[in-house]
Amino acid sequence: MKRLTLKYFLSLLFISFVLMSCDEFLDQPVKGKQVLSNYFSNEDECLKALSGCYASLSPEDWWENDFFYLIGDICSDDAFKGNPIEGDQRDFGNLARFLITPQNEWTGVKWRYSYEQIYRANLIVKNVPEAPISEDLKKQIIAEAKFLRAFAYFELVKNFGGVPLLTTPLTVDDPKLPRSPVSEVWAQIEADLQAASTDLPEKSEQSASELGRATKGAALAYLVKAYVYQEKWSDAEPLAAQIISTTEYNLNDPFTMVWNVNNPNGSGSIFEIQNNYHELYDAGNALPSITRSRADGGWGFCTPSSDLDIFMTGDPRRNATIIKEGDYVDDEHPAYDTSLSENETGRTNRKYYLPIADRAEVDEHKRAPLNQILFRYADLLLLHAEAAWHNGSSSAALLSVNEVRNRVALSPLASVGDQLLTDIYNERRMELAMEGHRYYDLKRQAGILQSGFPRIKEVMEAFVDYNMNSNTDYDAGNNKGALFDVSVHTLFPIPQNEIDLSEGAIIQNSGY
Amino acid sequence: MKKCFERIKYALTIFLFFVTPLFLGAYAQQTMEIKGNVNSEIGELPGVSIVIKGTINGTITDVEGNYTISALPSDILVFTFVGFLTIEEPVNSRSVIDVSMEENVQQLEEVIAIGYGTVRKKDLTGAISTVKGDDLAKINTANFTQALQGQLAGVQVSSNGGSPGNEATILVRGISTINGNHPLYVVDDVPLDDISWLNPKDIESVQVLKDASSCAIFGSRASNGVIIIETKKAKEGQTNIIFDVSYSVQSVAKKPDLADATEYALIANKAAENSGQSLPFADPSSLGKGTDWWDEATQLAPIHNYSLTINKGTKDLKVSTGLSYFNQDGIVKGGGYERITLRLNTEYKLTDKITIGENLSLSKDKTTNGPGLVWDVQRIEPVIPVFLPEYEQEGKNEFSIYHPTDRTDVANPMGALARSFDETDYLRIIGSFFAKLDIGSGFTAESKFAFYLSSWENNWFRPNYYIEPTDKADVNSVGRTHNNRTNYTWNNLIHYTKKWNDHKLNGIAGFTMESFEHRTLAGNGNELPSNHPDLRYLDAVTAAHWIEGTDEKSTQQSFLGRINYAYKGRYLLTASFRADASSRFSKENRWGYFPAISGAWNIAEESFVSDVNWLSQLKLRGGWGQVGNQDIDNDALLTTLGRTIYVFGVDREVDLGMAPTSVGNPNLKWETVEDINIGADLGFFNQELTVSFDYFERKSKDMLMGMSIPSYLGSAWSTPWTNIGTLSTKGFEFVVNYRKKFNSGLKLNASVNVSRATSKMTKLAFGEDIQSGNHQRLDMLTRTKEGGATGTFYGWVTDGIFQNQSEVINYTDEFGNIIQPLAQAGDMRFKDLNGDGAITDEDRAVIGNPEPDFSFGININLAYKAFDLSMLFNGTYGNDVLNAIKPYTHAGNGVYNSAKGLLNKAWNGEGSSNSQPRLAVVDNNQNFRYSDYYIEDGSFLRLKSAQIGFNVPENVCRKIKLSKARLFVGAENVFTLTNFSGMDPDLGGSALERGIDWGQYPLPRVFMLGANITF
Repeated sequence: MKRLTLKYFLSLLFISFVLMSCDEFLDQPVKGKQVLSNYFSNEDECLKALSGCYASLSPEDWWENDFFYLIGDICSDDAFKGNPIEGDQRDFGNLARFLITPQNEWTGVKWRYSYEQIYRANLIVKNVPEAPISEDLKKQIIAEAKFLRAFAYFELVKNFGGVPLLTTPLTVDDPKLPRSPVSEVWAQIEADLQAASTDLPEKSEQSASELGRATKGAALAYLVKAYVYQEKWSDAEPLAAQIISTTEYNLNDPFTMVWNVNNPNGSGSIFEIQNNYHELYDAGNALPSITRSRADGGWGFCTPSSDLDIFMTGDPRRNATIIKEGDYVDDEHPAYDTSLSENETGRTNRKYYLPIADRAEVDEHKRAPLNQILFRYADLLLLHAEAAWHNGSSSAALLSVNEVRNRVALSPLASVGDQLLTDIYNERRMELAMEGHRYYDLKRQAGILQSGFPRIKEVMEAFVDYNMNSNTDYDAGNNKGALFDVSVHTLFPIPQNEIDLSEGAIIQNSGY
Repeated sequence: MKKCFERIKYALTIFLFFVTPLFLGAYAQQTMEIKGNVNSEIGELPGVSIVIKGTINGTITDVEGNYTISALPSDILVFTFVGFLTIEEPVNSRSVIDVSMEENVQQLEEVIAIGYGTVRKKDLTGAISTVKGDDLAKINTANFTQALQGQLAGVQVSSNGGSPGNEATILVRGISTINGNHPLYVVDDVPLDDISWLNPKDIESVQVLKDASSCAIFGSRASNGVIIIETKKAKEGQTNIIFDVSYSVQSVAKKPDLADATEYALIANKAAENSGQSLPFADPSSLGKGTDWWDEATQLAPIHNYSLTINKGTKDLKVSTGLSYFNQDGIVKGGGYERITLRLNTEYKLTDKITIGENLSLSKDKTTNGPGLVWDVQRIEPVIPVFLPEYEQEGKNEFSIYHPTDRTDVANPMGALARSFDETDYLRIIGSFFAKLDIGSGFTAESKFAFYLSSWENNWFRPNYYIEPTDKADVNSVGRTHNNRTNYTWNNLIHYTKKWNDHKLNGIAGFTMESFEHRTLAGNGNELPSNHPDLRYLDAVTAAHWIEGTDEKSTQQSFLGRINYAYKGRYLLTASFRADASSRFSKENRWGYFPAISGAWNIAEESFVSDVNWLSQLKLRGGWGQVGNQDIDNDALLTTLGRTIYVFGVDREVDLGMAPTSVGNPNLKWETVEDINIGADLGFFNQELTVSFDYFERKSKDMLMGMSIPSYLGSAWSTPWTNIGTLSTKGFEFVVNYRKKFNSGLKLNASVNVSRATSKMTKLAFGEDIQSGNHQRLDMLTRTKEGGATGTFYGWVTDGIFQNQSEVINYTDEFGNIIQPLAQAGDMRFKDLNGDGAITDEDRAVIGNPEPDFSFGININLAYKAFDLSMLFNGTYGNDVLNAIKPYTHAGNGVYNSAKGLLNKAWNGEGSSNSQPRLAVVDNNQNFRYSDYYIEDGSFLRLKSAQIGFNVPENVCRKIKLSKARLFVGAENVFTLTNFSGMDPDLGGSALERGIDWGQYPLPRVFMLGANITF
């Protein structure tokens, strides 16, 4: 018996050791997930990576990037935070009031998603040249990636100034990057846009399935904008004129159709974020739901000011821009309810408004089918006008600004000198109101009354004065803008955690 | 029954006292035959050793507890049995000596499971707390973790409220990592992460291994302590059927005090008035009390608990089987929990050398997941009714007849309840098969193969409905999720035992293999033809068909060994070693090594203290060890890609792209947790009074944590796993136990345990604070800073209220800058901590620490004649809690409902309040930003349970053919003493988000009636 048990025991021991020696037991692959180290191995993977790079323009949820496109309005005289609920998106309200700290959630979000896009673009620029795909496709993919990288750096430089500049993916072990000077960031943006423009097709050359992708026109238009931001008027004007001369874009769409949900990528569209309702995927826009009245199922953010409304009195574009309490909107909303107790201004943004039939029936706050227009022809014409004015060619300026006016049947301008510049600015405000441009325009433009300062200073001062002293509308007495400090608030703070993580390499913008 | 035996014993003694002297002369110094029976509370005791004192002559009792022995009339018989108090009985020429032995509940001979083996409590060298299953069974809960609260030193249990079937948060000696802090459960030698399948009544004993020297034998999964659970098994010679039944009723222990409709309207009017706005309510008093949403949402709820156990043990076969049923309704409507368990533990002796057996548990439960109303019923305005008026209900479906809210964005909670269809079915089969082989020469070999198979299935349905624009669903939907786990464990061990002279040596060596497989599958879809109950199934889906799933597998292989050595029972040494290899790490970093050593000195056994009669135990213990943590994602080493969504083309087709979603770190390795433990055990007056003390210091090195990295290094929000952090924890435990049997027959057993464990984060990646706990109103709630405790509350510091405008103007920095220019009288004053003349983010500081100074439990058991009484108190002292609903109920802007009395408590003119700001709609000063205003003292003392039992006298039992019966009434959560203004300060949470009242499920007060019957 004893021998028998010993035999059992020994055989058990033997089996155990045999099993133990199987190292395969400990090699467990990760199942169902692709891994970066062997990605970019075929055409499909390269195209999917590029698609991912576009996706950073508007990731899935409402807060991931879409929300920040409202900042250009709420940080200006065109709009207020929207709903007065003090703790509801407190940091968003703090941006509107210029009570901005380096911990602000939304500037942090903008930073993150811009760099996510740069990271994705850098992966493409680095890996696609080695991928086993055709040279033509490589060119196309890399050009689109460079366009998107330039777009992301543009977003960063206009919000934060100089930022860490990288054109290839880095790892945790690399030394932490400092901020590059603003000029170097602009230089990279220009280089990428120029490179992209040579390999990208014009909009008219795109196949039906390519619509929505970056085009030569878009790359050059952003290059114009980059020149304008740097006040490189002599570069901006001829390039803008060149784009105009291609007749790729026009103003044939009536103004009311520009933001119509049924007119995506319209005749004046240069670049827009492609959105659509999908029953499974969050492929849509957040802003229609976020900006709509809380009485109409929206969240009530970013409401137009009475200042803007009064400014646009009599302008044909006003009704396509602003809905005021009691306004007729459509048959379902003959007298619009803006939910006055939850709306700082008694108004809501008409451009992002969707009729009930066009609203996503599920998860509207991330699935609205409205494209987010980032750059349209009227914008380019007005930039051209501005550049032409600065170059002293008033007639060219007038031609462009009047083309914009002509669409909405306004009489042509014939002003000259400083008045012409003011008129171009005013035209720009009305044409592009509530599309997220105003704050950025005001801070790059020089003051007219206080020429030593960016124009935003005099505008915000007048705005506060109006609201506190002469305004009798819903937003009377709201002192938003009182805390605006021109020496600080023309740039947002670098997110504090990025400064901390840079191990001293990143220095904060002054005033924060 | 025991009483009866004692009476017989006394009678016999008295009889013998008179009778024996008569025979003494005649029978002096001649051996006589003595017969008797050995008995105890649990019945006849087989296998009791009876030895004549001073000799090696002896015998053992048979299956019925009977014995026969030859002895001299002057001899003394020594009765010993493991787990029972030793009895010395002088023969005094008696021929029949019946003995009733008493169980030695926490005595030195008690055998304790220490993982892959056992040890006598006396020989213990590490820090291990134990509790008997019978003590846990007094708490009427489905979940073992809830029953553990207050029972053990060093084991802090937070109940997480009283939702049906809810699992408590257990921290063994505080936190050891910022990741998961769940202890490892080891049930009958099978390591598990999940314990909620277990019927607490099936538990024989629980031992918690607290220090690394004890835990190291479990290596890489033991960094948060190990809880060893032994389930009930049959004993040789035992046949019984035990039936436990109880019925309980639960009610809300503390209802939150909220404003009624009139006060709500008065507050809204006052807030509007203070902000220069028109008054929203014309006639507040006409509104009366309005709707009491709390009462609408809560109910009295029963618990049914039945448990049947059958034990039969013979020399060769021991079977313990049982069936249980538990059913609990929620005190908040819409939730419930139901469970059935089946258990079979068998042990067969095939030959003298070979024993085989199996443990099998089957557990099936169903949780009805309620809609979580607690938060909303406190915030919704009381001025609206629950339902629409009847004439407006016409033509609406059953889910749309609820009244919309007017002033708040809260969805009608009763509407949410009506459309709550969410159930989880959980089936778990846990089993093991083992074979033990006695090789001889002190060696035994054991192989055990165990499995854990679980099938988790969640089904939900959401109807379409319309209450208002912000409370609607245009389409209905239905979904199901499967979540299956298949885990295997194979343990192979060799035990060795040897005693020679004064030496005793125990050793084990072994290897184990474990595999963990996890598979999920989820499907859902929209647009069912209707909300009809028969169509709430996936088959009826007509749109948005969605499917997703995951597959994960990890494996582990380990070698382990341990030696327990004792010299003269005085000098004890334990050394153990474990080597683990995990598939989660790269080949280079795969193996982790976990050594431990501990020793103890039983001073009371030394000759120089043998004269000290009142000292029955004096033991010093000390240990050091290392354990590990491998709690990372299976794909943590790799940069993996995930789906992105964009749209292209004229047809605007969705295009699914790919992008990295993580940043892999191929250099990851084990987190190591190292600690030292020093302890002492003292016993006085034959263990009537015992005192235990333990002190520990623990350090987690190479702590696995998500590291924040600059955004440009990867996908947004990537936090690659790293081995960077260092966390240290220190603390102590103190237990005093007093047991006394008074002459009157009163038996007392009382114990107090006190524990302390405080953590300090000594190193973080890049020194970057960790922020956690995103609150809609207050933003990030906690911060973990280098050099500070984990998960501290971090916000502004208040300094009373500006009583008038001149206080505002005079609150300046040294240069005369007004620090709070937007404030007005009645607003909160915040401290300008950095002195820059403004209230900014830099003026925030640590405003609270959720870690208690100590937590404690008090256990009192009394027995007198047929009655017994037990009480368990528990509590914490010195911890801060964050009342996260206060930003709504105390903000006083007239939107959400307020706490009752806010109207009068709020500042309303000079001198009226220095803590509650004025009521206002417009609050430019941001009075209700995150500050110490929300932090409260979370100390509490609770009578967690009280039970009175009555043991039916034996003669009555016999008449009704029972061997034993106990009837009891009990109550749980009887009262709580605390300063916390919320419902319950007993809040769990993760390491980084502890002590936050997110609207925790209310604590139930339970009244219980029941019986334990043994056939």
